[in-house]
Amino acid sequence: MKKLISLLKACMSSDMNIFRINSKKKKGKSSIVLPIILAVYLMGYFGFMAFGLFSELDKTNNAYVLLSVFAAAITLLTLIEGMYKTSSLLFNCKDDDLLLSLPIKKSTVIFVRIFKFYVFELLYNSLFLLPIIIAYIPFNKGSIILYLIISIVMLLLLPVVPIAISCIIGVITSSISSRFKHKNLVQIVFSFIILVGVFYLSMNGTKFLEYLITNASKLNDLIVKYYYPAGIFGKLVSNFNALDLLTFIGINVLVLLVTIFLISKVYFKINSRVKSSTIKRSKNKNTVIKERSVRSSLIRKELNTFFNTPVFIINSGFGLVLFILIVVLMIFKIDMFSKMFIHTNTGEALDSNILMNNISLVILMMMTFTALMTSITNSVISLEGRNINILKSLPVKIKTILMSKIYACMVITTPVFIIGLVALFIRFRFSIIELILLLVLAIVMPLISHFIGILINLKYPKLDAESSAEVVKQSTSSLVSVMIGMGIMFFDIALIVVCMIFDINTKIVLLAMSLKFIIIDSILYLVLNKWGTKKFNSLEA
Amino acid sequence: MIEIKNVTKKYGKKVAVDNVSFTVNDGDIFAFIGHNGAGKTTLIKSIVGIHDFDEGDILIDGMSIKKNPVECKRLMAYVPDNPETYEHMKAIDYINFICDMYETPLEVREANIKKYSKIFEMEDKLNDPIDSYSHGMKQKAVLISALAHDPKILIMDEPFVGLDPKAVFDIKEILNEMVKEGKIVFYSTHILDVAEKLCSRVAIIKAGKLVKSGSMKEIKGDKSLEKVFMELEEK
Repeated sequence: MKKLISLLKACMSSDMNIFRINSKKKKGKSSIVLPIILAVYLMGYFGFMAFGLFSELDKTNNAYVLLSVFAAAITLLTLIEGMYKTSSLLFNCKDDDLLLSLPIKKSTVIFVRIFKFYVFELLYNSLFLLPIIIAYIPFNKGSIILYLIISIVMLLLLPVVPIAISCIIGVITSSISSRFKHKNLVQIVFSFIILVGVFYLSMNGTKFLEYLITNASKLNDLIVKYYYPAGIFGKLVSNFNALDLLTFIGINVLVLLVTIFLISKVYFKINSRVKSSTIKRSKNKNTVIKERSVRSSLIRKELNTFFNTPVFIINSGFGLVLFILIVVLMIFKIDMFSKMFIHTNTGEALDSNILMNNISLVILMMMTFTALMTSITNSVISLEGRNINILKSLPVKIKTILMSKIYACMVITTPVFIIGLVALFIRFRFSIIELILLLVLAIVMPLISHFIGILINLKYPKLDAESSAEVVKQSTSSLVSVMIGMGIMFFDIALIVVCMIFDINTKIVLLAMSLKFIIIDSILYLVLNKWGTKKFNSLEA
Repeated sequence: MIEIKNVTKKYGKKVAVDNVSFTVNDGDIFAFIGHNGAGKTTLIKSIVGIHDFDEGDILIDGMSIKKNPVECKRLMAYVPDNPETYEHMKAIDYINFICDMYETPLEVREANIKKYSKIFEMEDKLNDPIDSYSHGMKQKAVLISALAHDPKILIMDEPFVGLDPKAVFDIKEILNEMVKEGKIVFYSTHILDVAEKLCSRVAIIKAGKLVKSGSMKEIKGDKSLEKVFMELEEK
């Protein structure tokens, strides 16, 4: 046990740096202020939303059902998150050689890997679940202490089963992809198929809210029946039974132990295959020596990193894939799209003609949602790792290095948005001015996400990560930039909805939004030039 | 010429390099020696512009690395103690990338890549991704990338670690050839007998302070460099 604790301490130390505040240093305190403000903002937002929903369902004494629904939703989120990062978190880690040479059991190594994943998911889930737990307090009919105990147990144990499932899926994905020559490509395609599948299912689940209001009590029984660990939340709160709580704890412990046992049986075989499959020698021995400009060579290097890091592509590419899917849906299935759109807002079916009248703003809303979800740059500094020294020793201005990272992201995002917008223009025939303004937004809107991502990554770099997944999915930088992106997204979408309600001229809204983004982009460019270059210079690996 | 003038570098309260001054002239092969943690890598990283330093200045051909970092770096090539590279790249792409950064003309890089890949027996391996290389091969790829842009000053941190005997011999030949052309080679090492035979000048650093600096003859006198070093360490 002592061995396990020191192992966990050693492995977690770099991940938990953000929480180690030096009371004597002002710098240490300031670095944690931003994540706390963002977390409070988002938690407040979720809490407020949950309170509204609890109030509605409390009228029929069914507020507790929503606890199970939220638990199920968070479980699904953890599962999706886990599915595309477990293979990178479990296999081919930098500390493999060290850990595997130590006199410790195979299962201990697996436990340490899974535990790191669990801690991060716990923090992530708390962001959603804690405000929901607090928002329910006024509606709780029984003992408050008992409710809080149940909630804490749920909070701690909810991630266990989805993590276990995603670990097993990760093992299977790695096992299959490691047999292929282009294992990265297989992994990316496989992961996107899963994500698109989940998206399709959620599209068909738009009648869910309607169903929830009319069949709430039945629903909890349904969740208990199909996914006991989530359904039990509502059941325990409405009708506490110690045996149910013990069963819930038992299920989680058992699932964790079985998963560790199963993975440890195949882990080393797959891990060595994953490692050996990365050793691919070229048959072509003719070396091509080319001369390129500094900027284009730096952009090529960035794109090379992007396309050689599957977890990076899957994580940052999801917004783009979602954009493409929505564009396809709007072009070919506008009725289906309009139903989905309206259901989540008013609960009433809306004529797709009304949607058509505001099509530019609907497109803008959809672009806001997907563009601000696409934060590629929040890992670009951390992914350099010790290679940051190479960049710092080069005779190139730091501004050029940083801007090349932004340009590389633009190369990835801009064509997707432009092609999508042109396709939508051909389909819906909105005015040429609206198209031009939307095209401007297709450049300036993702740009804000790129600037914020790189600035946040400079503020919270992680140059000593054990794997690319740790950088992309488990770093303070990715968490903070996602929170900022969500914050801006919620604000902008609310603003667009207000403009639609007050029937403000579409062209004026598009122009105002473009100007707003251009101004913010310009400010962020200046910040990157001044503060960003200084910060980059001070980074030490 | 490299002029290190009263350089001090601190990590918090710890002084890693303490008021160090010395000069490296054109045509020198300069050995920089000291025990582990003495401050060698810190000073080397300060010279090549990776680390900032708290006091003093470093001049490269009369230009301050603090005031003119890009111009200074253009004259230098840096080989780190661990072969740090972009492992997912092919070696040839990495070497081309470094040459692009130094804006090396095509004919110069072509000639140098051909020359050094032949010396290091890497000609038919440059199209392989670096993550398929052994430690020694990575070190060779980094050396080729450093030499391909024909630097005036070559700065190396423990360059012989992980290399096979033939490669070590080849490097020594290359370094001798470079200094004949009036270039500078500055490197840190723990292999004192190689330094003794190869280098014209030496500096010894202990706990961040420079304890001796000068020509190899002046420093070692009739003793071996190893003996001088051990005596200084025991003081």
